[in-house]
Amino acid sequence: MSHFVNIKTTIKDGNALVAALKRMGFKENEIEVSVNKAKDLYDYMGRLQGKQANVIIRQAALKRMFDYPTNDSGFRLVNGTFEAVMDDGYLRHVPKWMEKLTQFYGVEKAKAELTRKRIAYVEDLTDKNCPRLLINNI
Amino acid sequence: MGQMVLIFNEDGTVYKETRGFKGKACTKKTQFIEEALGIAGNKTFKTEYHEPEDQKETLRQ
Repeated sequence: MSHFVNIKTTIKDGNALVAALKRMGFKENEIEVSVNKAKDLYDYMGRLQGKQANVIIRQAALKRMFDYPTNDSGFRLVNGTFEAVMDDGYLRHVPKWMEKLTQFYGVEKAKAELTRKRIAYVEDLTDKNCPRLLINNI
Repeated sequence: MGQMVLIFNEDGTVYKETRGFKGKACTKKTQFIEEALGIAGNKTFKTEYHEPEDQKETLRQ
C-alpha cells in the first residue's frame, strides 16, 4: 500500500526544478506547474488524500518511467523551498530517485546562475557518468 | 582569471575545485555558486589559498 511522504529538500528555484525533471526523462507536458496555487494530488486509486503541490508529475507519467502503480507526486512550495510529496512505495522501487533529482537540480541551478552572470561554461560527463561543468574564465 | 570545475555526484553532493587563484580570491569569486546551490559542505583548501592575494599581482608584473 502506498502512502504520500513529505521530504524536505534544498530546492528553491522552480525553473531549475522543472529542468531537472525534464532531465529525469519527463516530457514538458507531463510537468504541471502552478506556482500561485497548489493543486490536488491523487493516489493510485484516483482518491484525494489531502495532499497538494505546485509542481506535479501525475501517476501516468511516473508509471511510464517505471512501471509501478503509484500516487501522483509533486513539490509543494513551503516558505520559499520546495518540499517533495512522493509515493513512498514508488521511491522504494525506483532506486535513488530523489538523489538523481537533486543531482540534476544542482546542474541546472548552477547553469542558470552562470548564465545569469554571463559566465561561459562547458558541460560534459565524468568517467563515472556524473555531470561536470567546466568554467574557464571566472 | 581562474578556472572552476563543478562535479555533481550521484548522491546529490557537489564537488567544487578551483584553479589559478591565490589567496582568498577563489572563495570570493566562486562563492556565488555555493550560495545558489545552498551548499555548506566540507572544504579542503589548496596551498595557494594560504598565499597572500597581492602576491599574485606582484608576480605578474
